[in-house]
Amino acid sequence: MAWNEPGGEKRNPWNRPQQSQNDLDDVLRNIQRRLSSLFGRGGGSGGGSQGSGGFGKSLGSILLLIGAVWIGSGIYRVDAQEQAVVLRFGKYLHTMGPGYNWHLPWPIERKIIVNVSHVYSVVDDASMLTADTNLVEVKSAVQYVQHDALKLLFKVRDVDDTLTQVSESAMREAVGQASLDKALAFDPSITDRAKFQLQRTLDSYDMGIHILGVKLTGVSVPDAVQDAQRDAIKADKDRQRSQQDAETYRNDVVPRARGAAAKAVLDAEAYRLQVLALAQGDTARFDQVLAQYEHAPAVTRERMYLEAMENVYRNSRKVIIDTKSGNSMMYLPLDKLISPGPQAISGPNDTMTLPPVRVPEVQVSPPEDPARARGVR
Amino acid sequence: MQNRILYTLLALIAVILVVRASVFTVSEGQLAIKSIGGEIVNANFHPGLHFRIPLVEEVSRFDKRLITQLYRQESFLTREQEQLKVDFYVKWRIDNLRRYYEGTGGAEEAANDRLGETIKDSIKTVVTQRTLQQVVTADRGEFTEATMKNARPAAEQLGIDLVDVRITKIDLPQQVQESVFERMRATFKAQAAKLRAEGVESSDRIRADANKQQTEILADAARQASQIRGQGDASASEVYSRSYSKNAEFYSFYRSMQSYREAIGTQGDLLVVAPDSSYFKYFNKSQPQPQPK
Repeated sequence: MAWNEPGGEKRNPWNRPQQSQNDLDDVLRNIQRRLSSLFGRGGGSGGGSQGSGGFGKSLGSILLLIGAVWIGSGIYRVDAQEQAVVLRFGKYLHTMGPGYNWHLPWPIERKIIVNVSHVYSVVDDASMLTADTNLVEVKSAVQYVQHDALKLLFKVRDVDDTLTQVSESAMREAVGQASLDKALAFDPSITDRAKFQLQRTLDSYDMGIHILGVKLTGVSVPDAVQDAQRDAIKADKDRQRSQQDAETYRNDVVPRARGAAAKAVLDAEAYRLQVLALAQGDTARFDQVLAQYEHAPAVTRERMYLEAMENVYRNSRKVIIDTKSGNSMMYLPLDKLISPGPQAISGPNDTMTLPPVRVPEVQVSPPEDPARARGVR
Repeated sequence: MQNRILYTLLALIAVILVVRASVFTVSEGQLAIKSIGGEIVNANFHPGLHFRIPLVEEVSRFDKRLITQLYRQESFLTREQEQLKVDFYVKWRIDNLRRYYEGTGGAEEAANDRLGETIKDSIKTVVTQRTLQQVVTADRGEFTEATMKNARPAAEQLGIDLVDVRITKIDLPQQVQESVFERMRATFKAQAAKLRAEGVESSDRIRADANKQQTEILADAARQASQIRGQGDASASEVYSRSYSKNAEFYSFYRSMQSYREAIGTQGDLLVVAPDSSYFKYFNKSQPQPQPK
């Protein structure tokens, strides 16, 4: 469809009447003038001519504008962590580092920017089989860097999925070669093996990815088994406690026994000394009395006898029966005589022979002193 | 004047279109085939700008990169007839483009289908030879090698380079899982019982030892104490007999007097006596009479 039908009003592609086009024309001329001052004497016709030349001028300036934009689209910026892979007609040209760069604009050249230092993370949380066919819940994290931009872009189709798949596989392989106990103890051989396997596989795909580290963030037995595990842990605590209680008992009983033992021995010692002292005391006394006796045996004997008997009769109630002077039957109401306590009259003791004072082991019998003889309890 | 410009523009557009129709780019990571009516003209394009005859020659592009095909929850039986649900992937790339195109018509699904069957069979063979434990603990490298070896001929036929076959997960069917849980519970239970038994054992042992020590210490002390007391009694006895034997008869008299004082003459005693002891010598008479002492 031509812009201008023959015989019709003169029209233009923008479908505006000629008149307003002149306003547009003015605007464009202004822009063109500014552009010319920037680019020097670029495109378009000279500033002077009006009318038909104006159309060409405005077209030219628009083309110029488009051209400038087109060229400007080749400017790009690469950040510190990034690299830009530049392709010319699809073929790899070069890799540009951080800073501002320019490439021949599309469709000639294009750039792809890749972050080559950022540390990315892949996490996994799943149930896995151990070497002794037990199940564990393993939470893990893999950290990696995409250090080769070119390989990253053009070697493997699904980079993220691949990473996830290979990580899963490597992790399960590593756990599958460890026992349940090792897994629960976060044994480093597991993460070492996983990292080694992971890197080796990724290298075989030539992906340009470097694994920084593999970490186990959580290892636990499946929920269905946790109660049993908890009980086993509690059993260990019970075991320790039993032992400690027993040791406490031992630490109580043995020292106490030693204490009692020491006391028994000391008591025996005391008894020994006591008994000996008593014997020595008694015999010393006897020796003295014996010495006196041997000076005047008959007299001493008589004296001692009488004093003793005096004591005996003084304190007790007596019934003196002379059976020799008659054979008569006697009536003795003994039960009546026994019952009431006697109020015996006595004189002062002979101070020359002191009554014996025994101090037996266990109890002390009341000594025979004047107060007692008077019947005071 | 405007017509001229118009025609210039039209010419420009026409040129652009023609150019567009007679060049094509092959990007890094891409392969391309130029064909005429289904017949391959060229399958060896490096990345960059290339030419073709517009409307006559057709260009199809293919991914040169490593392609992944995931298989999920495929069932396999172990040697002990346990059913496993296995996730695995196959990684391959186009090696010989011409053969690939001729073998699959350029459709990836076709390639995956054909490869998939071969590989599944391969895995099945490997798994049936092993127990569950062997599958789990197996070196995945060996496993990969075994499966790929079987599938390589088929892959080569399709112009495909088989790069990797790897298991990502092994899932147990519900039943088997339950029995694993049961076994784990039983293990823990046994562990718990053993620990508690050990606790009781060492507790008993320590307590018995403590009691034994206690008994020994006390017994020893009692023995010593008895001995010491015995010594005391013995030396006292010696002292007594040394002294009392100087005059045994007098001792007898002396001691009897003490005894009478102690035992007989106490409060409340009732003595019924005949006045014929030495004590009553002068009781009836003031002159001494012959008395038995």
